[in-house]
Amino acid sequence: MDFSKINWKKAAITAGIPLVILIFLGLWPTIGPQYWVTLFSYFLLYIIISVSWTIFSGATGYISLASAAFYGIGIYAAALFREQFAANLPLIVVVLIGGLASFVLAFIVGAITLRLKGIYFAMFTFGLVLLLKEVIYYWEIQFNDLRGRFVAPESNDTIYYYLLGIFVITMIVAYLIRRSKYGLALQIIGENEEAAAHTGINVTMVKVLTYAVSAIFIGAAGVIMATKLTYVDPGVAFSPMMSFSPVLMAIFGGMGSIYGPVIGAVIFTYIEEILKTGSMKNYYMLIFGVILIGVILYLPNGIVGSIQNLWKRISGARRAHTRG
Amino acid sequence: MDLIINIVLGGLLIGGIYSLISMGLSLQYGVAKVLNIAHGEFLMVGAFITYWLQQNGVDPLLTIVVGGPLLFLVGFILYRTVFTSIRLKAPNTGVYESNSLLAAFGLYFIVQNIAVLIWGTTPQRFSYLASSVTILGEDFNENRLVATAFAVAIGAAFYLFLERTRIGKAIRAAAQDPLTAGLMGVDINFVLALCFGFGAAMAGLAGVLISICYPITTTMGLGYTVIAIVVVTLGGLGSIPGSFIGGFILGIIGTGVTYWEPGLAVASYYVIFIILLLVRPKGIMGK
Amino acid sequence: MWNKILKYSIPLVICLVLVLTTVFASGCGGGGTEKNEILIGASRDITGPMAGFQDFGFAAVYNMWIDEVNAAGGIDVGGKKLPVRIIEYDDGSDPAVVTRNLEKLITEDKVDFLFGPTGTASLFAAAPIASKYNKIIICGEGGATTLIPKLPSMPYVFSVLNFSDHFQIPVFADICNEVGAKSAYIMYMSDLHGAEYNLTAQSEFTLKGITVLGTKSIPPTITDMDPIVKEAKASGADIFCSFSYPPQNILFMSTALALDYSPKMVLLGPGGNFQFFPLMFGDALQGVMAEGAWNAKSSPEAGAFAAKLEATVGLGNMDWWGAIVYYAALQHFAQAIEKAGTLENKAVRDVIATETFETVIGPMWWDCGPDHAGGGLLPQVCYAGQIGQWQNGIFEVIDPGDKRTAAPIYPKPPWPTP
Repeated sequence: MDFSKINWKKAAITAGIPLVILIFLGLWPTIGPQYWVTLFSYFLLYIIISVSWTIFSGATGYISLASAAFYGIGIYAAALFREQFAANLPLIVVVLIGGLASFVLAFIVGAITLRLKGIYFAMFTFGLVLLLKEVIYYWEIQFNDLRGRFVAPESNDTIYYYLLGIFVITMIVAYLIRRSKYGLALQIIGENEEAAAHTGINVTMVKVLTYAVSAIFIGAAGVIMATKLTYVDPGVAFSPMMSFSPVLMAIFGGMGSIYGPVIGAVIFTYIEEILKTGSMKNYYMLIFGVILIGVILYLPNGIVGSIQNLWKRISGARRAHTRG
Repeated sequence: MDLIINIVLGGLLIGGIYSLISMGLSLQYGVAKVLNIAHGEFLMVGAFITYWLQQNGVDPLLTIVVGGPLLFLVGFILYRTVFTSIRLKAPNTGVYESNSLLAAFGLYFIVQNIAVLIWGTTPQRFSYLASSVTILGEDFNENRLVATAFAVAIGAAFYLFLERTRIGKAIRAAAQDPLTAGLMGVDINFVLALCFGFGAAMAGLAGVLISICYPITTTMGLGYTVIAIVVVTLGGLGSIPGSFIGGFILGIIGTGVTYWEPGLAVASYYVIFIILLLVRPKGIMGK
Repeated sequence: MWNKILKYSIPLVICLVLVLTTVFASGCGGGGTEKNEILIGASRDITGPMAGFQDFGFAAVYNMWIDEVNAAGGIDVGGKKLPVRIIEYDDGSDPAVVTRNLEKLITEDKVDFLFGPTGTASLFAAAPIASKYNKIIICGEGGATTLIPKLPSMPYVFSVLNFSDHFQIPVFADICNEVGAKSAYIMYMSDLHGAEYNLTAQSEFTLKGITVLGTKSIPPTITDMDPIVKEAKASGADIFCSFSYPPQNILFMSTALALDYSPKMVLLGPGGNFQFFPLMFGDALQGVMAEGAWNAKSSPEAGAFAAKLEATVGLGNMDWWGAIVYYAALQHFAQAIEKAGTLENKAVRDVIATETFETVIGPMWWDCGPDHAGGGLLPQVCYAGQIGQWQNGIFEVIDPGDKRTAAPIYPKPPWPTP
């Protein structure tokens, strides 16, 4: 009896709290101040990217620095199919195109590189971002006589709701993968790849497919953000910071749980916002760097991990106290 | 024929500096296992110290005596405090590598911000040995020759140091297997800090030589870090001769592509880089 | 159980903190209805690669202008003098951040007007945002041919600076014809700026009988220019054009000096117009041309303005290309607000687009296309000059016609021996 009661509570918490958060986020544009809708769009964007990154890299330990490539592909999908002052495909179709293009790119990259170990994989993916940036720059200047392209703008609410939709799907997919045997397979791969192969896991297939699926959301988010940026060039689309941010956010928040990257993304974006526009703006990078090093030195498990440890210690002490 | 002389010699004259930069990163990543994204920032600091001293009447080449040891000290202290602490707290090498990468990022932000506050972002230059020398009928910058000579000399001296001295042997032992080296009585924290310090010093020295040849800006660091990563991958991690080979190859290819289509020079680096990672990820001299 | 609750409570707490901050932020922002100042927003490169422009670009001029306006009590808006305050956010020359900063300035800080960001790419990012929210934006550094067809749909964008076919390169080609330079070698940066100057130069040169012997595009990240300089030297062209930004122009000058490449005519892009160039290169700059241009001799008003600006920013931060037109545009802007008698953007915009006011460059008005319906550019007569040449430490305007302050020197003297 006691058992079923706890289970019910658990279910209520598991389903209820996300629902409350979702309703809150859904109503946000009607209750929040105008700029805060924009700011929440950025929260959602970075959550999508860092959670997507964690789906693959968090579990397997392969550090992918190709997020900017997937994001940029999405941006260029929008630049090609949602041009300003032109007849365009519907936005939802372009979002799908962007996601699909990222999927294909990630699939190819994954298929040819996932046999690279550790740091070489990171270097390859980073090289890819810079190569795409240089080549597209060259191509646009040489053959189209332009540097950047204008994208048809969308209203802030449209952008927000699209991002919210992608966010929900990303979270569900991340949750399902974590829960499924795929997630388990990924964990085993992360711990010991050879052992995973021996237990009958199709290592290559699992890795490549997960990598490609995780890229879809980054590409789709890129399409939406292009309509917010309205002017995009290869430097914006393939900015290396888009590759590093999800890594920093995920490690900062903690990769042990699905919430770590979410919290990392929100706090990072918020700190950046405050520092960049506050009175300390000339020292923004300095403070940011100090925070980064401080977190690594004092919170090596990320924020969520460290708070959990702290909580365990407190509740453990209390339990010990009541028992005593 | 003229073109070939220009490409090969011109490439070698850039490659020397590239080698020196990469040697530093190779040491930091190969031995100390820190993929130091802030590597180029040490180079930038070296370059600006040279610029600042030059404005006060000090001969740029003399700065080598000041810049090298100063940056060595900074690197040594940084490793002994920040990175050692990260290494001791990390449960395994993977966590240590990713956490130290993040810390290096923090460092990158900090150093660059301070440099921008001190020196601004306007490009700076000074004129040093700015005349041309004719070799095999083609004109080359005198300062490039001097810089390359110094780069090769510093690299060779360091190679001998690693091969011939006790500390050098300890470093090589730590590179191969830090645990065993530790068991055999090597003070591993000291040796790794030494490596990081040497890496920073080499970046600083490369910065001195770069400031002699090219205009400098406070935001130029990351570009050189990327070049160093490419060269290190090309030559093989932890190999000093590999850094030289990689640096010279990259210099020659870069110069060749610049003659043909300068817009694709940087892209060509990445193409080589990506192909090499696929074909031989350990690099030319890697083991 | 506890872990479960904890997992959810952290995001909830963070949401709560954010909401509370929001309430406070909006509570403070939406305060009084009485306007007691004119708020101007700008996203500028404060820490990035173009941060120098804070000292010698548009920012130097608008800061001086704001101090002057406030010293005089402010701008008269409907009978009440309002002081001007500027809010600047840093974008590090990242167009993506420009977009975000401008949205914050418009929707949260509720600024009345905008000043432009640093550089052409950022300007391109800013113009659509200003248009989306119908905010007047006065743009400084930057400008491009690609913007011209977009301007009719961006009635709130006013771009001050002259650029490639507006009207620098045509004027430059006329100068070449005048002195008899016959052939050119063009180096341009693979960036919108370089690409447009190159295109304009190719067509203008062909039109005016100047042969182009070679063209090379360079990436912004270039560190070694020897191959290009050697090729240009071998081509024997009379004119060398460097359509690139200050870092590349500095690199070109260093390389050309070292390899003793001294063509009869050298034209530099942005950078060559700044006073730090002669400070950096000294006598070697004698006879070198650059895009611009104005100087203290352009008019008595220009002379007074030059003295005033130098006293404010220092000689090393003088800009002989845009400074005077930036200032003129701001003077025009202030008079437009006074005439409109309101801070309402539509009303002020219509005055800016239609009226002519007296400024430091004489009568100034905006060319806003048919029926004054679009965004604005300055007409050619308003500029103090298009091309300048360093002669004995002064950036002389050498345009043919009445803007000229000195005759062009051709050929350029060889580099001084080091």
